[in-house]
Amino acid sequence: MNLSESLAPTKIVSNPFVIGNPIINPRQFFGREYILKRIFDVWRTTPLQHIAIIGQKRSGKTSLLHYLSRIIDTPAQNLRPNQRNDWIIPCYQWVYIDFQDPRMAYQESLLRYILSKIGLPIPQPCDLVAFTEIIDQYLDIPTIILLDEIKAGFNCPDLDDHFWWGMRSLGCGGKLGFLLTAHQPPQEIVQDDGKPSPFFNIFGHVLNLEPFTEEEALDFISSIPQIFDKKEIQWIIDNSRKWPSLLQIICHSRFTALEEGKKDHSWKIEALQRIKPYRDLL
Amino acid sequence: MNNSFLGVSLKGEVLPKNIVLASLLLMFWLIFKPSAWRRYITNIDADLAANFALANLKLQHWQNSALQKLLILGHGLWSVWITAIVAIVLMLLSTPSDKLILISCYTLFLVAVGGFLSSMLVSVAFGIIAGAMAGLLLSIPIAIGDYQLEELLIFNMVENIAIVVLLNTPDASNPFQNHDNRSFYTIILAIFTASCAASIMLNTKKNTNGQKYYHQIGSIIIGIFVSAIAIFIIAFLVSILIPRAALIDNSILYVIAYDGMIALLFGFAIAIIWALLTLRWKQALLIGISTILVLTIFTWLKNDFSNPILIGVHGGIENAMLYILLFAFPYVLAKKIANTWAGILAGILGSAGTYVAFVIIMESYALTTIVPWTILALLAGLTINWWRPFLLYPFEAVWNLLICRAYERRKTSRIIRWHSAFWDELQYIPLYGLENYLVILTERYPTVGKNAIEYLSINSQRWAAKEAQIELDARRLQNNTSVEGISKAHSKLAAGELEGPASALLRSFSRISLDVQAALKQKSKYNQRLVFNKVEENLDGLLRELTRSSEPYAIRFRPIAETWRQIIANHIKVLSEIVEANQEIINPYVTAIPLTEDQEIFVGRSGISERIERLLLDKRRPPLLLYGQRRTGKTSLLNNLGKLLPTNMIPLFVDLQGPVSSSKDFPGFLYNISRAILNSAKRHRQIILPVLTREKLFEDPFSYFDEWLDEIEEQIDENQSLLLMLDEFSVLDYVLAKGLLDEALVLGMFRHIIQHRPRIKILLSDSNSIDEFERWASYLINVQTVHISYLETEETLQLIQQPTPDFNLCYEENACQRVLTITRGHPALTQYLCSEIVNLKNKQDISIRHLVQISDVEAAIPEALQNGSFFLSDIHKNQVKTKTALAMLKYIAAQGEAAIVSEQELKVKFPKDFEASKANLLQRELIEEAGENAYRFQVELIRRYFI
Repeated sequence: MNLSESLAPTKIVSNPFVIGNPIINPRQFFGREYILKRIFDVWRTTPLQHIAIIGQKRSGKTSLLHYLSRIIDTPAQNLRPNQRNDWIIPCYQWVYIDFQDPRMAYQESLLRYILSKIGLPIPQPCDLVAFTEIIDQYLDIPTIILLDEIKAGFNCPDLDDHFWWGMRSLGCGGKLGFLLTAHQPPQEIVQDDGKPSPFFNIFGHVLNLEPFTEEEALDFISSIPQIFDKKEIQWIIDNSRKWPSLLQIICHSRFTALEEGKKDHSWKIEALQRIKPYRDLL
Repeated sequence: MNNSFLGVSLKGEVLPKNIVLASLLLMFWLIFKPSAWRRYITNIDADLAANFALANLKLQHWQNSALQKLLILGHGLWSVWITAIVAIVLMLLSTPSDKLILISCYTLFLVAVGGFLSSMLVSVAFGIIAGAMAGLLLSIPIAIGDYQLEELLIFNMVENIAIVVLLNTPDASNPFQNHDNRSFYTIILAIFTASCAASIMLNTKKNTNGQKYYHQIGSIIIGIFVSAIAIFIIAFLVSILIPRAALIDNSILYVIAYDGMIALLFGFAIAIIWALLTLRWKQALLIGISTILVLTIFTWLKNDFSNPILIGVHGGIENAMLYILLFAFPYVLAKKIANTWAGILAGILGSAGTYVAFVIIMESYALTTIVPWTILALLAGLTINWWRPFLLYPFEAVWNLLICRAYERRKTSRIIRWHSAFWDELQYIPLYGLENYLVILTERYPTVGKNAIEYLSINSQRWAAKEAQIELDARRLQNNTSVEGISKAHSKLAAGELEGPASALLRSFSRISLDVQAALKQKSKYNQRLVFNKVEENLDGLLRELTRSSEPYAIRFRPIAETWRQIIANHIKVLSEIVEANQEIINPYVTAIPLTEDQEIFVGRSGISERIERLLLDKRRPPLLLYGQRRTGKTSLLNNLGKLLPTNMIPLFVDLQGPVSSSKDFPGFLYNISRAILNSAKRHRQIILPVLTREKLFEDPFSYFDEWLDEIEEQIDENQSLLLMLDEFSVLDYVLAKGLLDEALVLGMFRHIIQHRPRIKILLSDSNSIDEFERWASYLINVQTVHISYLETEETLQLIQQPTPDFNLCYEENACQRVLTITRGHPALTQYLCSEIVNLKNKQDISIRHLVQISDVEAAIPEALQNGSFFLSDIHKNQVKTKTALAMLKYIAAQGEAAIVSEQELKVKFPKDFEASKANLLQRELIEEAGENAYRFQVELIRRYFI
């Protein structure tokens, strides 16, 4: 029995493709081997240096951040065979900051959140000065702070110049490493409403998040074996341009069609329709 | 715990079938090995206490053969042994046969009845010991002296009390008034017997709460109180009986009266005590009546036939009852109220008190004579667990030596059980040599040795178990000759669980072993090496501690730590070779963040530091400004000035971007500066400066800060001076401009320092010149600028070819020159480019990986520009001030590498704002003059960005 038959309506198999949300489970994360190697090579030694990931919307920045924060500490049995988790030694701390979270828009709650994540005492009040003192005094484990969509952070009124100067100062200490994501290139981020933003000057590694390589795309599509035939695979790759989010959408459509027992090509039309909003990627 | 090596079943102790051996073993357990007694009782019934009395038994217990055996051996056979011993002693003393018979019968029944009665009312353990001891100690004195048969048991305590009471004839002839020493001995020995038996009984009870008996103050008080009540009751009874007794003057009535009174009293006492113990009044009544009957019968038989046997038997029964009841009554009372310990004290003090009171009433002995001996006997009995092991220690030492010798000859593990550590549980004096014995045993018979150590770890020789375990662990650690062995060592270390100085040490080894295990699990050899490096660091730290330590264990474990370190170091070497063989080049470059004094990659700047040093020696003490464009290495230089300047100069680095500029007020500002100063002094010169508290600053910030500076100056050596380095002062300017801090206070303070503190120099650092900050210029006069820009050629070449000592990438000459040409020694750009060259080479085949060619340099440029995009974008957006300037820059860039453009051409192309734009580009060191009225890009790599 082939998988198509096994996916007949009588069988309940959940769609393994994730659309809309970032990938949280490391097992579901594919590709990006080169970027991962570049990132972990930088963080393998101290002082920790800072990395910027530039990528268009829906290019997979948030999924990458979640993966970075989880992969090292995920045991091998929870990963796919041959999926690496030994990029660096597992003695790092990871803090993921989503600036769309309302708590991250205010200095006190943001700093409090960071300290709580890394298990350090939270001073009262938790302002930048006290935060810096705590970091200087107690932090002795390499700690990476992942700043998702940095532009949103700069748009928060409470995260003012002093705050970013303070972050820059902390970033020069070697114990904290920052990774930021942005969908604008550096020359657009650097000047914010006419003011220079010195925080970015400490970012000496800038990586662009590109589409998957052919091999990575095939690896992803083949993760559910025997679903797609060769023509379908080629069609998927061509139309998605190997962008992971578009691959997910198209594969999701195909999987749904198979589940529903549809044998025509209507799924392609539906898939193209669904990826239309993300034309920018194409 | 497996006790099979001691020949004991796990389920409980078993008495041998041979009754002689069994009876001896029973006594042995009570005196030497109470845990065996406990296990035997547990075997009878798990819920039965080790110090159980017969009153505590249920019907089913009586059917238990083990209990039956216990009672027969303890009371039956031991009565016979004691009697036999007494008889032998009496024979040796040439005692006449009738006396011998009398005393033997006395002994037999004293032991049997006294022991059994004690077992009934106090505890079986007490009964066996008390019976045996009483038989030996209270019988033999009877034979002393030349008394007639009839007079022998005039020493009968009971009769004498009765005589005194009934006749109320203090002046009547009685042995007490004759100061008969036998009575004295009997009292003292009886007290001693009771105390000993009580101590031994307490041994059988496991003291689970760990509280020493003499710490139980409440129990002691209750014991004394109850014993006083008991004496009072007895005295009260006696006082009631005296007037009535005086009325009797008929001899027959006299005999009936006192014999009857005795029997009644004893029966009543036993009944009361039994009832108190069991709350079974009917049973108590039955026992009481039986006692009266038995006693009456024997009394009648003795009175009628009066032969030595009957006299002895009767005397033994009566005295046994007296001794035991005088003890048991207060014992049971106090035990009911409090606990066993209170009961014991009450029993001993109550019975001893009664005897003492009696002899004092009879004026036989003065208080000052009897009391000290009483106390001595009491203490001797209660402390038997102290002096018995002490006295036996020399003999045990000899014995153990013989056992060890026998073990060495025969090499059989069964011999271990004969070592006194395993049969004398109460021996508290360390049995020296035991620890070595255990180590040798464990090495030869691991299971037996392990069991022995486990067994000893919970008794008084636990020190030997601990020492042996530590030595064994040390030997295990020592035997590891490989990394794999080290990785498994933690699973075999047991002594780390014990308390003590060695356990911390062993935990360190255990952690190292775990780290090695974690390292070996790393798939990547590179990561393995990283972890092993950390392990090596930890071992270095451990070795330093062990070298400094004067602990005895340090000497033992130091060679082990050294061996481990050597093994790890060798393994790191192997891993390095493997990594080398895989030949990924480690990227040593650090981009975009300042280098600290810990980074080897910091190169050069000696010229600049020399200039700074010269200026610092200038007697006019001008403030200095370290001026240079962004990313030219200002902060890196300041971080490394500690290494570059002489040691009498103490660099104090203050990052004005940090907490200092975030301060809400002037005191906060000063406090944060002080913190930065403290950290810097410690970091660069290992000097601990006095702390300035925030609270003090709020009172009078400037004054206290000034005083604090005085303190610092007093603390440092006379030839030392301080260099206060304020990095990124433009941030502070921004804060002052916003009015967040008072400009006059802040800048005034700096001016004050410059003018009045010759030992403190100020150095500002920024990418803007002082002229760009008007407010500063008015406070800081005569600022001397030290310009920092590109590295010297030699410095740049070092950064390219040998950034770190073990850098294994070679450059062809032209490739190296190409990097130099493109970057011009710009520290940040050189690092960006060289870093990308390393990344590029690591993607290439091993055969060409370690040699950089000019094509590699060109190929790395786009990635280098990308990595430097924030820096370059900052130049683009923030430093190039006008549109004209940007256009000019792009125009010059478009002309090609090293292209020179004349001023004339530029003026024509960009007439608007030409001069201002040109000045901007020159000030920002983006372009330079190339000949007369001509310009070109300063740095090729920057030019490429603007194409």
